[in-house]
Amino acid sequence: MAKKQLNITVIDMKIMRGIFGEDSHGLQTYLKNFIRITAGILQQVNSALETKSDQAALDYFHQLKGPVGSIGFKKMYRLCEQCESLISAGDWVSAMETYAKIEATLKALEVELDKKFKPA
Amino acid sequence: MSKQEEMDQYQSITNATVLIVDDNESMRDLLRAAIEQWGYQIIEAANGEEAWKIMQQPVPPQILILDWLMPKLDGLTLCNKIRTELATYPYIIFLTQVSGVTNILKGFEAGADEFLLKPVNFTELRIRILAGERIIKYLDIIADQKKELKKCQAYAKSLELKLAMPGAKSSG
Repeated sequence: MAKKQLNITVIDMKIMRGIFGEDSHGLQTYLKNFIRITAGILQQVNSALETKSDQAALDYFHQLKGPVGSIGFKKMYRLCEQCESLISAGDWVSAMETYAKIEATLKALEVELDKKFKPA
Repeated sequence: MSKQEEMDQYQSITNATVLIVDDNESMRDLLRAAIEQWGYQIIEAANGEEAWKIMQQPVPPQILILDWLMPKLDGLTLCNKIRTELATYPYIIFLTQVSGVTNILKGFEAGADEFLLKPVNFTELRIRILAGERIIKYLDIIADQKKELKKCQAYAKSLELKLAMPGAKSSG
């Protein structure tokens, strides 16, 4: 019987299959770490936004975008870019709103991952 | 044959060691997973300073995947240090979000061999690593031939000296 292919909708599974092949466990481990590390950086972004430290916030976004873009997490990547532009324009209120969307997007990935890897 | 299957044929030819230098753990994890699968040995460093220590070991990695903006020692300074202070020639691939012609030029001036932009295109990265591996292989061959040539020159010199000695006779 053919193995059921894991499908996470918010990231580019073509890229992930190119790297992990059929190794669902490897993919799961990677994504769990990705979520943990990204959430950590997001906390630092939040602190930078609260203190209106534009350079620090931009540096954290710079860090975030590398892996986010590389796994094809397009929605989050676009939001990060939006937030960067808002910070550069000094629009801290909108930047905070966009930040909340970024957090929600990461949470959505976490929820989907938990659902897909739920033991039968 | 699919593109993926086609690429799968191209595994590492030398089992070279690749040093991944990036301050983002998630990025390093992703690169490790991909590059290991292509048949390479992996070493990681979280900043330029760590990478510099690794590069000073007796048998340093032959290929570097280098981020630009990092704490302690940035990628550009590290690249420059490797080219000016080390006798070995690792193949250096910048993988960064720092873009623009001026920066790319800076990277090459510092001694980079390739310059790739994030987000990573894994097919492109794989092709560049393969190209780097080939160059490293040829550099090794040249180094071996140079050694051989030096030996031959030394031998020829010793023969010359023998022949120049008074009373030396030709045996032929």
